Amino acid sequence: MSCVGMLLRLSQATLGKLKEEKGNESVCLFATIDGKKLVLATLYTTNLPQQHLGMVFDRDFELSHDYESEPESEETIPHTVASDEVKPKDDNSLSTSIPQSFCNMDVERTILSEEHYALLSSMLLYPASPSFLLHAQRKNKAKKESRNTVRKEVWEAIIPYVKASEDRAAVSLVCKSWFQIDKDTREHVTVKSAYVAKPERLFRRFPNLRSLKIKGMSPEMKHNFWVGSRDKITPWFTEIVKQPKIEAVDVRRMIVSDGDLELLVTSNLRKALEVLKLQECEGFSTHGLLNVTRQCRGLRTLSLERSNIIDHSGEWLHELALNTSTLENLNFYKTGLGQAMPKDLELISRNCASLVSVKITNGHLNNLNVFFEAATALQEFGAACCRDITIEEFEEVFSEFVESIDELINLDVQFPHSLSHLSLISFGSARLSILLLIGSRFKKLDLQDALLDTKNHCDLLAECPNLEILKTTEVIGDEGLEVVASICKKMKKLRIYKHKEDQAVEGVITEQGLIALSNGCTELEYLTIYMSSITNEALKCVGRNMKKLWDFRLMLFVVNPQQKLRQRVLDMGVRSLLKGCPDLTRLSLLFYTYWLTGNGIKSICKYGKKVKVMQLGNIVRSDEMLKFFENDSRSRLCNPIGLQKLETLDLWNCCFSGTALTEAVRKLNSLRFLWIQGEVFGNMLPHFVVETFERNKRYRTSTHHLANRSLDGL
Amino acid sequence: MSSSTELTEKKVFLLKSLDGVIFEVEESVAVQLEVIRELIEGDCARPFISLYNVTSEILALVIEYCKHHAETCSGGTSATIADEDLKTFDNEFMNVDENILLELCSAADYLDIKSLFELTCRTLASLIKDRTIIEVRKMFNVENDFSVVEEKAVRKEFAWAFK
Repeated sequence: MSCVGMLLRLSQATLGKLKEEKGNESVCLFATIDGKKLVLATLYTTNLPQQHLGMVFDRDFELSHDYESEPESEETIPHTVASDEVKPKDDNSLSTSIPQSFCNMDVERTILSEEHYALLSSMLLYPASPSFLLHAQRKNKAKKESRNTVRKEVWEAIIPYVKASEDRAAVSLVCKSWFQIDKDTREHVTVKSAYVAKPERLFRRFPNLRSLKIKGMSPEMKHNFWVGSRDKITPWFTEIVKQPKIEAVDVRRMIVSDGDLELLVTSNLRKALEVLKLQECEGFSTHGLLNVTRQCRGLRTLSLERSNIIDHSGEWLHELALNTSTLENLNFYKTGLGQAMPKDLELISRNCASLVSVKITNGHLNNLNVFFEAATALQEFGAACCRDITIEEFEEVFSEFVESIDELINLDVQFPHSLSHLSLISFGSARLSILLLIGSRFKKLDLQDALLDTKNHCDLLAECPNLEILKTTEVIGDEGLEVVASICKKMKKLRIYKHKEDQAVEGVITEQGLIALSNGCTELEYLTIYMSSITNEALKCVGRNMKKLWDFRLMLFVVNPQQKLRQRVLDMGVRSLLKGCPDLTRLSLLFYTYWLTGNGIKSICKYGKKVKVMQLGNIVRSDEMLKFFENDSRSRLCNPIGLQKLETLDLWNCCFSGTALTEAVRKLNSLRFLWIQGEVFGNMLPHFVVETFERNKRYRTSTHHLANRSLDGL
Repeated sequence: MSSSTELTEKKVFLLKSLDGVIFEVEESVAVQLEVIRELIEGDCARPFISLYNVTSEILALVIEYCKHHAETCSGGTSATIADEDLKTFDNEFMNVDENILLELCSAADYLDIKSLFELTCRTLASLIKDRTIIEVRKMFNVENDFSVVEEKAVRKEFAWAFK
């Protein structure tokens, strides 16, 4: 072995695989230096298979041994190479003067006898070595080139820290080796639409997934066209149970049968499964759930929110209570499942120290005191309050409830706001005072079905300066929004839905409320709002103040007959909004009594650079919508090219021609999902699977088209 | 030999970079370099330890990092204050361009300094965040070896199906 220009340190000698029959045999390791053969070490196959050497060589040497089997049975691993300027006087190292630079690998190969090539290559392949060589070689090269020497192992360590799916998508396209690293290290994938790709394809692409989220139809689609067979989760579960590393399964808006759940729990997955979410799903019963809670004992999260579950018995919850010690989130909010047994909840809270969130359907809250006392880490609670108990009972219940929360919070001084998320159904204004006392603790309130009026909202919100998320209906009114604007400065997510039809209409939201809100809550990122009237000025205000807004959904429904007709064109407002909120990724504009002209459409195309999901309904009166899809060279503004991130487009009651649409879709490279009500657009769309539905509503038949961009076909 | 013994007694080690610059480091700093700790434990730390992988520019940074971490940890301040201090230091320390970061990362890997390796990995990953493919390639000087067809196929999967 050549040591010109370097010192090579042999740290140890180790015997590799030996033929077993030889017993405790001695093996001598020699080094031949300057024609002298020296014994480096004597190793014994059983007693002393390895020995530290710590020797440094400064000139050519040759390693040899007297063992009779294959030469690769010995391995020697160098730890470092000492300096060329050192002149050690160490007896072992036989030092002399040492010259210049380190030689490269090829030179070494030629000098090596074949017998020792294996030996040397094992040295060179020691983790630090390849780059060691590369770095040695690069000495005189330009610095820029050195960047290429970043080893794959280093990227393998870096890339797992890249979490966001968009960034991962970019990583996978940088080069082939990055593609492979992404493939090997990807742990979570969201399948945006279950029909777009086959499960086999997904797991071929990402064999090491730990967590998978599968979405069915969008909520609106589910509501309108529940197609059935193709929304079944079965093919996905069939593949999932074959995957060795899956721990989390999250399913939205799909049909899940008891048989599918059986499939999960009879596989190896039952031991590994930590998170199971079946939200807004249907098709299964409490029998299936019982199977899950009986078999999957490591669950941390079980969420069934808004799923339509056939209720045979509450045994599943009891079984869960008996088996679990790891549960953190339990959610069967709005599932229609019968009353939760307080005893079961108590048991769960006692067994699971890290229980942070519990959302149930109906609960006799007076029976939950013990549960509240035991759930010391509880941050989120949601329940429907029964209508059939008297107010006196209720007040008693809630005074207990509050007390228990107080105790809860006092238990842990470090986290005084332990319970900060509250969702209530049928709560009613009579018991509001209970919430007022602890208002400052709330970060999230869901009052959508709470039956509070405008004044209640104002009173409650005035006590909630820490509120970040609020979900309610338009009953909040302009007055409520003004309170939010002046008190809830931390507000990030505000969703204001329409009244349910059976609720008395009270509280109206107009431009006045929106202006107040946009002046007061500049931290707002997410706004869904149903309004009765609006002005361009109000939209401008949003664009001017809410710089962090990335999700904006505006629904305008009730006609205000007082308003002048000319104000109903919202071009200017929409333009200022899109210009002012550059991060907007989701935009819904559903108008009935307002509209945009071609100019408004142009501004959407021009400024909607980050918009991924767009819903436009009734926004144009005439055939102005055509302009949206027009791609003429005269005006680049009309070109949808500005919407390069657009993935989902829903158009309701908008006029356009089939040809213009086909043309536009060709240009929108990232578009994968289209829902159109009205025109026929035929089979002109490449890579799209188009379905057509008829829908009867109030004696009117409307035609809907659903187009999915597909990898594998349906 | 005598000078070597003396140095060891003082527990000072000399590290020599690729371009020949010699750094004197105390033992508390040197042991953070796992590679060198092994040498010290094996009593093999010679007066000079040459690090062929690391330029003086990078080695200086590495030593600065290890020094600060060694001092903060032994400074007798409470754990939370020390943690805060290290966080601030790390943030400032990572405020260099991506080439230096990459070299630091490779060096931390080679010298086996786990905390620095993790820190640089995290920082580099955050640089990839929100960048386009072309920007990433340019930033790290990575060559695109996909064919047009291959690239298109991968793109489709992401744009249409997987997130």
